Amino acid sequence: MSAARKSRQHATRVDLALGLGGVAIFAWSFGGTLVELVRRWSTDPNYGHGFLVPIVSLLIYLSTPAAGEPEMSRRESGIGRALGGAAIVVGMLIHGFTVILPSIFLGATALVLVIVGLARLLSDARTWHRLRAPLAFLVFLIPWPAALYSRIAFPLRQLSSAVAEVLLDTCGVAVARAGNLLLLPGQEMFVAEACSGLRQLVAFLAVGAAVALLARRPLPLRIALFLSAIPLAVAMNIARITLMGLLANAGKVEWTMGIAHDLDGLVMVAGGLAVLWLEVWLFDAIERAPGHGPPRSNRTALEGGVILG
Amino acid sequence: MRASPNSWTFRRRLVLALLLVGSGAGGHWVLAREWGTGRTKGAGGLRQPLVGFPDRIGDWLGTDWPADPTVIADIKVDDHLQRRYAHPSGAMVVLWLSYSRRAADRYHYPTVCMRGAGWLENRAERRVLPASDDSPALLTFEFEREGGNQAIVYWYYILGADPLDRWLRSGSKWARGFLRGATSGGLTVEVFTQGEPVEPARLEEFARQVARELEAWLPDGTTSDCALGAAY
Repeated sequence: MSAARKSRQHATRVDLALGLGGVAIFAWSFGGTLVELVRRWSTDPNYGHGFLVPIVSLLIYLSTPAAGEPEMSRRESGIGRALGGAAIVVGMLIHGFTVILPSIFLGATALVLVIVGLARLLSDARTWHRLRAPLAFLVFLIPWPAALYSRIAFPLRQLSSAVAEVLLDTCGVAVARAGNLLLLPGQEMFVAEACSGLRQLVAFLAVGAAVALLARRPLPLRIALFLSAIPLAVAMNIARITLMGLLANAGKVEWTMGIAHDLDGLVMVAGGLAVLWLEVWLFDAIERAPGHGPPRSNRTALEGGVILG
Repeated sequence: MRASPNSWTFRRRLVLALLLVGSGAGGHWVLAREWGTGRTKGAGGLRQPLVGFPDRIGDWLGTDWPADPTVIADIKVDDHLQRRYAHPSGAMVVLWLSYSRRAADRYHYPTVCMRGAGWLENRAERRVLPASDDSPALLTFEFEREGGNQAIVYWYYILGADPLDRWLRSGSKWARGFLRGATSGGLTVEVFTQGEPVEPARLEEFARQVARELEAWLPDGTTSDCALGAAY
């Protein structure tokens, strides 16, 4: 074995040992945060999608082309890495602060910041270009702060109840509303906190972001796709409550409870995905129409069926 | 002999990353040792289960009134008690106690839950009843719906909070919001009138008797408050 090859092997072994040491320190320090996150995903229905976030991140990474991105200049690269180091420092400071203020929102924010910082500091320009979108998606690992969650949930619940009342009335159902209580002939339907639509909103924002990141479309359309997840989530939840009311009014109360109640949430997410797909399809149809220039050549992970197929 | 410049540069970055993460992790460990990891566990627990709360409070005699299981599942409390108390005069009140290891009980309080149930508050009737020697400050409300009235007395306890928690809690409502569900345990107490109006003095006296009885359930260092909800 040549001396040069031996030296390279030695250097690789040292790098590997340093890397493993780093992973061990990271796991030791953030183990509690990771356990708390998994507990939250397992027990809080609002964050059940958390388990899917790393998988979707991987999908986004795999669907991002490896080549063709411009190389960064030495200066840009230096600034980028300095920012990576700064992200690690800020992340570790927030992590330290969680001892004083043990909030899972802060803990998860620190975790994601440190991961992003490490990726930026250690990766070369080409790898960083591939990593940006999947790393950005990791933001959906972070549970919302309790204060923000509470502030959105209550008005959303009131809105859902009020609009569902109007829709049920339009459908010919005799309905009255007292706060979040829908009074139907012979029965009451309580729009609980879980039916506020916040669960759908949290999940739809993640789905909207995944679709926007996977769809290789112009940036304005991606932003529109992501933002459209908000009204979509609210509308889907109102549709769900209205459907529950119609079923209850038709005497199918058992269909509005238990597994059926939980499953309809999944159906709504699937419906939301279909609407997002429709938005992409409409955009493509408009773009293909005469007078909109040649079709774009670099079509998408979406058309390959990664997400919607 | 040395590795190629690129490899060395990568090594230097790797060492820098290791130093940053390692020093941060070390600082976190030292802080956790100093401040105690118990802070993260929601350490404030009740001394005994709420089911043992007396069913006789002065002249009032109580009967358990099980809450709707779907509501209980919705509000995520760790222990609760709902009991109707009747007074020989014919007055009737409902006592609601909800305990959460992570203070999740405090999301539910009269102006949220009653509005959710279609009641409107008569703000002119909202009053703080000051703390006495053996009872915390209490907050009273009056709500109206379809001609009916309901009075509520509300207060809560913070269990297991340390001085730092108290300092943070004295900050903005956003600071309180971050604290909710993170550090201390919580016990919410609500007394509702039912049916016929109850004389305010009698309602207040009942609430203060409940507070006195609750002392046996509360761990040392418990503080109380009646400010509306931790997150609002």
